[in-house]
Amino acid sequence: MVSLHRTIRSIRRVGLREWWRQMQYIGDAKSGTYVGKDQFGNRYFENRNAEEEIPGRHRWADFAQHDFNATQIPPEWHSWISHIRKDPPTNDPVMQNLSPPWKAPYVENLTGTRGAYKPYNTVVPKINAWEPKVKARA
Amino acid sequence: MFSRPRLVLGLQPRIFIKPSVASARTALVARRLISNSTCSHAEHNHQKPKLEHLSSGIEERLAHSAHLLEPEHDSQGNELNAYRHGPSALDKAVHLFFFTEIIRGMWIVLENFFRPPYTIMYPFEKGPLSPRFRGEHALRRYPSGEERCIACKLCEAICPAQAITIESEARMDGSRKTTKYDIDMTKCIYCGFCQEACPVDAIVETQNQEFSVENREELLYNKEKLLSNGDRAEAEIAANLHSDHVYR
Amino acid sequence: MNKSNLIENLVGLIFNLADVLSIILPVLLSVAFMTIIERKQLAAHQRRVGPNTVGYYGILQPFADALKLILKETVIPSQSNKVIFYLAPVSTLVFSLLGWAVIPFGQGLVLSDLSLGILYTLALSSLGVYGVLLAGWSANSKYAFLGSLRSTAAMISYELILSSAILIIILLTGSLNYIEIIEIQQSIYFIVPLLPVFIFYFISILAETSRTPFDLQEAKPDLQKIAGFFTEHSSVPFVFFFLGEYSSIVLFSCITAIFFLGGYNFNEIFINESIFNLQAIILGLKTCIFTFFFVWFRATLPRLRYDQLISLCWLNLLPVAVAFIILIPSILITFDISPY
Repeated sequence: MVSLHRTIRSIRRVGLREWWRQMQYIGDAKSGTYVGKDQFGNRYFENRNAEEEIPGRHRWADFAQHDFNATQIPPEWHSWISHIRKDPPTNDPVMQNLSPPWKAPYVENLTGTRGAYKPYNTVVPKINAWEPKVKARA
Repeated sequence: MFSRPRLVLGLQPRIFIKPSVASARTALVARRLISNSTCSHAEHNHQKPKLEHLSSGIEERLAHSAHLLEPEHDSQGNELNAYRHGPSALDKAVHLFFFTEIIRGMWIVLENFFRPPYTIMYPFEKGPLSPRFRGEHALRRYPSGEERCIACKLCEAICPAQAITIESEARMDGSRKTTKYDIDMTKCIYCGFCQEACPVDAIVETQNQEFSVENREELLYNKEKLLSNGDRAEAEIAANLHSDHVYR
Repeated sequence: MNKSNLIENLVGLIFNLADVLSIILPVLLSVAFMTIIERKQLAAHQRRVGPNTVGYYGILQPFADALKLILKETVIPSQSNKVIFYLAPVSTLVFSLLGWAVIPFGQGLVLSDLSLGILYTLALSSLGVYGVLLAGWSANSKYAFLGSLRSTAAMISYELILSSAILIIILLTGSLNYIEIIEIQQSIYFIVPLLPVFIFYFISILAETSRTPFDLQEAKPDLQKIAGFFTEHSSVPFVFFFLGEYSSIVLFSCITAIFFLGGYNFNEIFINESIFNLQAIILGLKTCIFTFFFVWFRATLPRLRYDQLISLCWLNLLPVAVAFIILIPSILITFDISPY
């Protein structure tokens, strides 16, 4: 049951404004430590106290955009929020060392918009279609 | 007949009822069988657990009450009160009319009413994945920026769904690279054989499973798309390979 | 007939209408929220969250459901008896809502203080069976008809047990009036001396409203060979059945609170001196306890097969009921404490 005690505790910790924002988006009152922010402005939180947050729900994100979707999380934070890696990218030496200089900026899944990926052929086509030319009758 | 309530209430002198939360709650519900009533647990507590051989301990527990009712035999040697160790008529009537098992089940359900739910709020919280999770494909590069794929076509050969199409040519600077590397994600079965087959770790599966599209055409990935996947997610891919490489 | 008499009658009519509406509208609201409460409570028992998208924590879900069901297409079988097809679910809902006319919400705050209030309630529950019967029959489908027959047989069997339990309470009270029953429980709530009666009364209520463990009629048709009686009804007729079922759940919870937990009394609050109707709130809380029980039973128990259901009634509960009908008057006569 979404416990009243837990809701009141969260409200007392995060304040009414933040609680209202959480009700509009997440639908539940959650409180925890602020872990970091990514390049888009999404904020990430964690609460490792098993009595307060049940262990599957101990990491969550607060999206910056109003029309959020799950693909707005960049890959480094994605591996943290999917419980793949233990440390967030700000504290993770392995991930920071393995970030190459040619890393491209991340965009969310653009399907359905104008920026959607359209497949195309990367080689020269081997078959050339011919233009029908009609020669006039002599 | 009154031996059972006396046992449960602990009025026998040599039985020590250990007070605990479990027994306080179970004392509210009449135990039906002596094998799980509180006095038999107390009996067990006196003995050290013998783990050399597995035994149910029924004989010890039954022997405890054996002095209470003697077995009676009739003239042919048939045992007349074979059920003397079992629950008494009053016990059975109570369990029948007051639905003891149903109330025990309902108590458990009520306990669960007060416990937090396990539901995660998807896109804010995500389910746990492992570094070996097979999701969207990506083509990697060396740290210098050079593409790893050398067009050996091992992945094309091993793909069980024949989703990979490769054409290759020598590049302008003479190195062997692909010109066409298509993965048809609608054919792909996400088995991971391509990443296992690749000798240079060029094609890998990232942990991204959220690449759903609105029409199928967008799922026919070509080389550019795969490369750009890899460019964006390289940190995650490399970190996962780092954590997993000892097992591969 | 002079004009002032006419105006008087009209004003009286409007006040009557206001009385009725002030009971029916909150009841309908409570029935609507009963649906979401059931889903959220079932979810809580099963350690998940119920619907939580529609409003904050899902409280606007019943309105979304109602809107969806109203906007769906109403399919009527062509060979069915259309009049009865429409009237059957309507009658189910109407008879459930009629039962609220005799429930006292405070000292004397009852729409009609019948001296035969309990008889009225029993009559309505018997009439409610008609809704089920006609629904299945009018659909002109073998399976709906057989389903409705089974439902009807179950409901009338358990009415016997219900009447027996209520008879015992009448024997202890000496009157069929609801307010008398509440007043006489000022010394002790009837659930304390009559706990076994409460048990088989609650079982009969679960069966009357076709709730788990007795809801094989509503279960998926692949669990039984014959589908339920409302398979042919879609959107609006279905809404009436749905609302009628939940309304009878809330009504029977309220009646149980009145019979066994003392209704609006809370022993220290005899006279309501404030503008705030505390007694109705107490009745509401006691009703909530029993609706919690209804959903709690649904979360815990598996279903009974139909023959188990009927044999439970006639072979197991009826002897217990008759035994209590003999026991209670015997005690009353022996110790000369009969309330007449």
